[in-house]
Amino acid sequence: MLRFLKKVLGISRGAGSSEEGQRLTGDLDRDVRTLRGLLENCADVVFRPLVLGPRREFRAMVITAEGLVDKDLIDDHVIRPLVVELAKEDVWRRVKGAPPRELITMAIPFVDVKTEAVVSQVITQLFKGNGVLLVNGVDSAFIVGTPGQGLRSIDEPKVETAIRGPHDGFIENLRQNVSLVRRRIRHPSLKVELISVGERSQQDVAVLYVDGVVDPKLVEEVRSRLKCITIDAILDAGYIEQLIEDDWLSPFPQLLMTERPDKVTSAILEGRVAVLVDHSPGALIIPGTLDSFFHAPEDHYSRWFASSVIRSVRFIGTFLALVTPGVYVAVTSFHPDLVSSSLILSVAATRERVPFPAVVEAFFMLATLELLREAGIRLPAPIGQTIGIVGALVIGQAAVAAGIVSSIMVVIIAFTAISSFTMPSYEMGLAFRFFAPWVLISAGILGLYGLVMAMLFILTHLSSLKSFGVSYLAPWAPRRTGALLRDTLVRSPLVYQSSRPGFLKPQDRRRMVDERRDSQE
Amino acid sequence: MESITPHQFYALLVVAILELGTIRIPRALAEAAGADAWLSAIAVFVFLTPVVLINLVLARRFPDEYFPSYSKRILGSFLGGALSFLYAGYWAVWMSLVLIEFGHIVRVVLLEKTPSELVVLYMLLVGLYLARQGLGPIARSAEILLLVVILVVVFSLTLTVAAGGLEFTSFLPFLADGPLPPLKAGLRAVGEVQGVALLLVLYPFLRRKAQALRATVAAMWGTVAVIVVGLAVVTQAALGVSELINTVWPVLSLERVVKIPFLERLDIVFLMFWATAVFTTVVIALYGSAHMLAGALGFKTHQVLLFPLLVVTFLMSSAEIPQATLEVLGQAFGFVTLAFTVFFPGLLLLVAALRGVGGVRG
Repeated sequence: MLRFLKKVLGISRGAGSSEEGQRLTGDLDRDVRTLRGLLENCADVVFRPLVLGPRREFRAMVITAEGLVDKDLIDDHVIRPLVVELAKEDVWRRVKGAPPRELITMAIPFVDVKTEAVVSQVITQLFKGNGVLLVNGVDSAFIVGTPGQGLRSIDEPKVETAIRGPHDGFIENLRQNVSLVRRRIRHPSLKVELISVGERSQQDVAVLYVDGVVDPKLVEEVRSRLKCITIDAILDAGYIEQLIEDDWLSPFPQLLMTERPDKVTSAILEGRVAVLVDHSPGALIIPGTLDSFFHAPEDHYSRWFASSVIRSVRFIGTFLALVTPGVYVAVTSFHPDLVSSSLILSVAATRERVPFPAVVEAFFMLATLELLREAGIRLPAPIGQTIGIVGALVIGQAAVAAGIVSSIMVVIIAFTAISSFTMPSYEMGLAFRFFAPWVLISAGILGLYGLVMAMLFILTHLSSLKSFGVSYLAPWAPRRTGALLRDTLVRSPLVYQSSRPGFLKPQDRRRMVDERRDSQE
Repeated sequence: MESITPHQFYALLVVAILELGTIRIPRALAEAAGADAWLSAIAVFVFLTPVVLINLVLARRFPDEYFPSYSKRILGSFLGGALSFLYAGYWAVWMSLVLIEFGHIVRVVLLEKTPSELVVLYMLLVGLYLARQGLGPIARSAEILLLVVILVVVFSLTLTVAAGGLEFTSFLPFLADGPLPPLKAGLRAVGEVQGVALLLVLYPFLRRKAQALRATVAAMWGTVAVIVVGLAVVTQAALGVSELINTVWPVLSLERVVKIPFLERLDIVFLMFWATAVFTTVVIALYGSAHMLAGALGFKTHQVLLFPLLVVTFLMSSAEIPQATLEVLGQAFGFVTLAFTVFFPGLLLLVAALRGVGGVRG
């Protein structure tokens, strides 16, 4: 009944769905009328009529979308050659006689010129920033590749800074982003497949992988999940992430998001797949394993020993961020005989004036920490820094002086906050922050036993996760000792990393041959 | 159906077998064999060899079939189903006994005023969550937790040895009453090593079945035996035979002896980590029980039976049983274990061989 009503009232599901199959006729006036009708009230679309030839032999129309197209390119390399050059008698004598389609192709000095006959596709190309040229007598439009550059220049990502290594990052322009990866893999085995996603946004999504390395089943799975997306618009790579991941209920991210081209390059050379989305600086790396969220790109640019130590600091830091408040509450409330008497007495002395139990005190401080963190993100940069200092020094000190919290609790929470910043991935950090109160409540009810059970709960949840068929805990479980020793527990010297991780099932396991070492042996 | 790797098979066997019995076993052996308790610990695993082999041979005869299915083929639908039901009940009772004792220990060592029902319920609920996911996630958790358990044992033993105070004279006199007492003690203690029968549940899920024997040997003799014998030797050397006999949980007492800077109660830390060994045993037993029950009752999936099993197990483990009675029950349960690890698998093998069911011809 609803479908019938929609049909009668002419309500269509997608934009322009009734004109999806409509084609251009070659009659310029009619085609322009069709397009003007569809683009009614689109004030950013500009129609520029042209008359070509010294004796005004041809009429044409250039259609562009303001803000999307590169105006200089259109003016200098499309309109000027057509209008000015073709008006010259000597030029015209050389080219006249050629059919209009060939004439236009000869006149426009562009590598990227395609033709398109379907009206809906012409509009799609228009809104991708390409110039559309209609010529009287030609039943298809010339699509001239003149998209404008990104809104900002390539710069280091603010969220993922590195001390060593490249400092470029992805921006909102898909072509630029793909080129950043292509510059690093100048080989035809790097495949870039474009898929259009979003019923109204018609966003380009690029799937990048290295053919001959990646497991073809993984690529096929990524492709099929992307094609199954039915949504109005994709505003960021985060939409894609949530729509294609295995378990969207889990707080743990199953795809790795990054803004660094070197990280993407390294991942796809391992045998993973990367997904880039137009108008989003974030790239998705598939599959994401728990271990991969602890890796930073500069791990491989520095010496192996230092990188291994720093990586272990990240693991320990994340663990401490999760358990420190819980351990403090458990020890002070349930097991004071666990630690030495002098330590427990000094802790008791600092808590003497505090009217709340340790668990309430810890909750209060954790909540304050989260409020300060969120406020620091939302406020403009100069004020945000001030809030951080105010929060840390003034509020903490004032709370201690007022007897609301103990000084040792401020130290514990500060330690927890600093430890949580060792996590390279923002999304993974969020997931662990989500579980910290749960661990705290468990410890507050059942002491160290409750803390252990809360950690076991987190482990059981992680064990149940998979990312595109790969266990989330790989290479810890299922255990792969080689991968554990090469690039998990420690970052082994590069000469020992000659194989790709087996859990990704790459077609070509070998990625390096150290001829110097082989010849010495 | 999710399959498990040989390493996961190994990890599951180890974590299923290592539970509270492990920290109690040195006392049982000392009571029976005196100064030769450490020899009894070795004898346990010698006598366990044919037990494990019987179960492995039975499982290998039906490599891709679940136990409820082939037991019905061997004994007939009714008897086979009844046997699966019995196995489910056996593991449920085992779980309850483990949880009752764990509740006692937690009340004594960790949480004096907390009802043990809360302790047990928390573990069962987390266990339920994991068991619902299936054997794959259980196996992955087991691989991770195996590292924790081994690290805890190694750390404890190392600290104990480093702390000094080990009296190797407690191993004398050597074989004062001949070899029979330690052998008898070892034989009696075979029933204390529960979890061997879980091999029958795990085997069909194993991906590379040719490596089953290697994984089983590594689990039983390469890991569990080393841990149990190691704990038996160190507790006997540290506490002496007479104190060992008078201690309910000798390994915990051992940890109280060790002192390290700023940590005064190492037994609390040890028990905290040993809770992971108990957890894994509970999860695997819960899964095994549900799996058997599902096979016996003709259910396609085990998940729907987990919650009722949890309720039954919780009610059983809420029973107020004094520690002394619990020990007697534990000893009696040892004989029940022998029925499920020796008698029933042996019977099934015999009948299957006589009837020509399973194997190459079946």
